[in-house]
Amino acid sequence: MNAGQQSARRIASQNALSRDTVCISCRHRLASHASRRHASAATAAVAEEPPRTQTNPSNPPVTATGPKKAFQLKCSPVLSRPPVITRELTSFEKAFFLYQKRLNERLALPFTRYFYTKKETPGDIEWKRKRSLRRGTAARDIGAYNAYDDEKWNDEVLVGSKLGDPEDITERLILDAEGKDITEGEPQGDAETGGETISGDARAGEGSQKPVAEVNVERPASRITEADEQNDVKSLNRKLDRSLYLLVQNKDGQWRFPEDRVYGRENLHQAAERILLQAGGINMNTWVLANHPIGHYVNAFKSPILSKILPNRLVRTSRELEQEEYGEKVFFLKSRILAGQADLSQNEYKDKDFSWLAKEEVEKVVSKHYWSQIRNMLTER
Amino acid sequence: MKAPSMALLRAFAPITHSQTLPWTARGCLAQQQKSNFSTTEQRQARDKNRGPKKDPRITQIRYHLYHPLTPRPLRFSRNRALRHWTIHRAWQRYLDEQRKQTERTLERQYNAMSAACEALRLVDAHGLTADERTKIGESNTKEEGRLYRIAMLKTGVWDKVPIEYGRIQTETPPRKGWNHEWTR
Amino acid sequence: MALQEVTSAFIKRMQSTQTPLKQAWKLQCLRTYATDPMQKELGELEESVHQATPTDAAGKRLSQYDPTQNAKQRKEQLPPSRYQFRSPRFYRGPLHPHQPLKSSDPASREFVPGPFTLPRLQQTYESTIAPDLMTLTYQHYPPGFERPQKGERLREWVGDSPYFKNRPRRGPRGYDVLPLLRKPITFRNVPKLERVTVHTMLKGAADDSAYLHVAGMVVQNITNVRVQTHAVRKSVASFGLRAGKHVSVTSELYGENMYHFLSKVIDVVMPKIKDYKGVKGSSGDSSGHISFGFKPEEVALFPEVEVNYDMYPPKMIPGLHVTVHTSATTDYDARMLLQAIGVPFYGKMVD
Repeated sequence: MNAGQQSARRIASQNALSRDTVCISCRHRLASHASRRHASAATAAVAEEPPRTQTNPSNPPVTATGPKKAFQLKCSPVLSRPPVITRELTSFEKAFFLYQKRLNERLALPFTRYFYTKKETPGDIEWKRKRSLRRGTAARDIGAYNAYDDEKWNDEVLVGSKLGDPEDITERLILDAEGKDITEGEPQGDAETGGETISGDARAGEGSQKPVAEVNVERPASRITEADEQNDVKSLNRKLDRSLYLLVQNKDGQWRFPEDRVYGRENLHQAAERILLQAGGINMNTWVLANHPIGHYVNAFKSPILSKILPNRLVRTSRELEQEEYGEKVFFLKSRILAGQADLSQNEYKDKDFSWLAKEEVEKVVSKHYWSQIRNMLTER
Repeated sequence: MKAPSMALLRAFAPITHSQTLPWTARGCLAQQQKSNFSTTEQRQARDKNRGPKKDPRITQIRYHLYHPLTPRPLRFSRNRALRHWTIHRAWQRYLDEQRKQTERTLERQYNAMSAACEALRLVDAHGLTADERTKIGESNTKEEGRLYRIAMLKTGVWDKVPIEYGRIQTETPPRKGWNHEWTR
Repeated sequence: MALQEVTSAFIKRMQSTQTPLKQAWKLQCLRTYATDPMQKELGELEESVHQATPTDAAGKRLSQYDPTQNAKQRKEQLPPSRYQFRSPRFYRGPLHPHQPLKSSDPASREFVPGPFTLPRLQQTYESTIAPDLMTLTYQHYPPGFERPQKGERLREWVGDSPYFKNRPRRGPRGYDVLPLLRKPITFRNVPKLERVTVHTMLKGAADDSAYLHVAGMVVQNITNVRVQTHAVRKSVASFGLRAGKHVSVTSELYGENMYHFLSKVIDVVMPKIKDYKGVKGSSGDSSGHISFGFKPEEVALFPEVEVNYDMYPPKMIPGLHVTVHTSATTDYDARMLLQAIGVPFYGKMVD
């Protein structure tokens, strides 16, 4: 139970509805609440502060005839796919990380070779074979740099070097796993080798001069997927490092988050789950995070619309009713998709199309008024 | 000057004897190891035959834990130190900027959320607030704040985070990509 | 100190060339606000400035630049660098003239390089988990609502006794310690990971320091942090502990190390453990710190131990306690955070 409400109710029951602490509508509501809970205490409160609706002279008396005047009360699940992969590093970050790695190389204890490979084992021979070209460095992501030789001062990388790139590091790791030299394309000006790369050290003995066997190391999947290249907005494989939001094009041709009225006595959470089901089909594993909205959209119509609302088949408490609608209020509920894909074939709202869009793409398709009210609840990444 | 013989002292001093042997067995051990023509007790070799044999792996771990080549603090030339300082400051500014941005994003979301909850609180079953009711001319209200009260209950929300949700981002995507074929 | 010298020298040099600098600055200012003819004029000026260093020439010079070659070809040695400030080995108090440098200075003995990566767990937290936790734990308060003032949590000493004056307050009623308050969570205090402590206590270490060394090596390898040993404070005969003997090893992980360690534990180690149920739901100290453990055979599943498993004496590989310290003030919130990261929990959840 809500602590705020409880305490507010306590205030109400103690007949201390001061103007300063509780707003008018709250006071009104709390007073009516109190009448339910603590009859004796509430009678005094009601007598002191009668409900606004009864005393307000400007309101016309209730007329039984004619449709009810109302706003469309809607719920709209904001279904999003969280980022799956890490973001692209900026060039500054890459350069800084490489710089720090080299500094660390200077300050760390040297590589404890015999702790990892016993003497005269294949691993040891392999290490000896690669060592000279690598200048004795065990790390494969900092290039040929040894913090314990005479040129240890030269730990800065020149402009234009690709050393810090994650792709480059992956490449080198794969080369190393395949038994190849990782310092290719970076001649070290070594006196003996004359800068050219030789696989295997000639002086290391016969055992080490084995031919480089063909080892196929499985490469990691590309960060840019097929869906990225085709810009397939229906696919969830697109823009894996961003949050993607499900937008549907409703029967009027407007792009919006899937939405529907709140029927009968259902609450927002139930409504959100129902809407996801009725709009996107059953084959989505979704999680509606909270019961409360994360944003809202208010739109006043230019002229009131008289509309007849049929009961929804999934909400038992919904009744058929007619009302004159002056505008709409949409409450957005946060939800996450965990697996599956939207499917409009079973859609009950006659939606035409759907797409998964990142924040800046959402801005392009939705109307300006809609965007101005939804932009703050969407994440940047 | 001749040093006094330690033999007698040694014969009785318990220090030289290994503590693991019982008192009665110690004498036997000493007798066995005495050479025939000398009255002085022969010293045992330090490292051998003393306790259980040490695992060489432990020796190696000890060696690698305390490597003799401990690096000294860095010493930079003037220009290099200046370069380092520039990089350091730039990085701190960059981190600042990032921190600010993430916090701003969170703040925007929080404000949007509280504004929405406030709007929900004031709304009745017909989607009207008190102000709008007077404006439109609708007098009767039904269930004001009902949706809000239900929304504020945390029942069912705090039970558990679904296990599929707890998934840390990776550097490269999974090979199969997103599971589009998931069916209920 | 050295840096300060450098900067002051730099500033002095700048002061000597103050006038052209000022002009340049003026030009910059003018460029943004100037009218069209002015801009034209300045544009010409700008071109003339840039003609001095064409890009292709700079590229050529760059390709020719090789610091190691330069150093080798140099006939005579460069003059030795001037006096450089050296951090003292030991801190001798604030009044000593020889003060250590700040730890951010590379010449300092406390300088630790880093960060080296942007951990993926950190990115996940910032982009996904933090907003979601904020949404999950949101509590709405209508505008103008004031939270009721709670009384003092610790009682005063009430009485006539003169000794009650200035006496520290009485302890909490019904508790040994004062439980933390749970403040409403806003965008400023979303629960986050603060640090991780990896701890292991070795029974055999009192007799044989090898246990301590092997455990230190294992913990250091899997956490990337040098370990701290701890001595027994009080003798406990029933546990065979004697005061002063070093028997346990901890390492404290912050920031990058912590994120890497946790993502390793969650994505590599926990899935590999046979019949792993998860972390016990009753774990936690009711102020947002949650611990779990690994048995010795589970510690062997850490990739850093697995890679050279035969270099460790197998019987000496220790079990570990891992405590995750979060900024949450209740176990509930801390568990939510860990669940969101991917730590499984089982059994009855106790707060």
